[in-house]
Amino acid sequence: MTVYFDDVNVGDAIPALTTEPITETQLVRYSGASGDFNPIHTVHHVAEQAGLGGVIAHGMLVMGLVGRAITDWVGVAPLRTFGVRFLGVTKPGQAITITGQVVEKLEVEGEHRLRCEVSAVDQDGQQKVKGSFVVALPRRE
Amino acid sequence: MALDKRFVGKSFPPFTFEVDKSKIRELALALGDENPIYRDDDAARAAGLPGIVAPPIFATLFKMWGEGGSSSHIKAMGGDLLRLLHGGEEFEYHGLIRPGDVITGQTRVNNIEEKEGRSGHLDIATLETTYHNQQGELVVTAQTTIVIRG
Repeated sequence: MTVYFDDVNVGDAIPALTTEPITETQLVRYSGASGDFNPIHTVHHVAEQAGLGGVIAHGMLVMGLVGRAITDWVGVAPLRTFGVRFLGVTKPGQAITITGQVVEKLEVEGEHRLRCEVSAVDQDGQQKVKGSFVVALPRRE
Repeated sequence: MALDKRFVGKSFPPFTFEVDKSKIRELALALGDENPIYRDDDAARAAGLPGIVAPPIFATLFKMWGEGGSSSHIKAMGGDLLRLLHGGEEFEYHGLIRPGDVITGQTRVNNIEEKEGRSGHLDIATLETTYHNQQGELVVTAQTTIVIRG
């Protein structure tokens, strides 16, 4: 369903997304998909040697989950920028909740855009990612 | 070991990656993303797209498969991979990425700075990678922040 620029206000929440708990199989799968074969994500003894107490999720996997929340809301084509900072490690068993809100409405390069902030936390409220994105939306006729 | 600051302003050699449907599908599955625009051309067209498109973080594949990711650059600049952290990632989108696209990427070292963090000395590198498609159109720019713990 199309989201129109006119129907969105500063302060509005973007639809939240809570994922299934991250699994070790998912980390293997993401490694193969992305080409990121750093063993701290898949090989237990290496992750333990690195002082991580076990395998951790790829930061980009978590960014991908945030991306999922954005594209569930407005699709892929409206996205103009998308950036995150990685603040904490994500481990298997943790379910990630992505929330966000509209912080600015602006007109740039002839487009009607929203600047939004997003955040990803686990089931204990521990922060994984903070970020922002800009989307260009259509106007109602 | 500190990163070699002489790399600031330098670019690494360009690399290419060919986008195919199965790789898009594989990434969507790994993210648990069931959106049909990543696997079904008809559903994508019904959503107003020209057909299947790649998800927002897809550019990470170009770099990982195309040139071995940021680790290869950090290694080249003298950094210790075991001390590498991904600090942040920022994409600027200029066009859609579609199956059949042949993407050429090139990474430039924008900045290397040293900081004293709470946990000790940090080297922070900012890398910028531009991605052009086979028509020579800029499709994505990525800013990657890499932190090396001292």
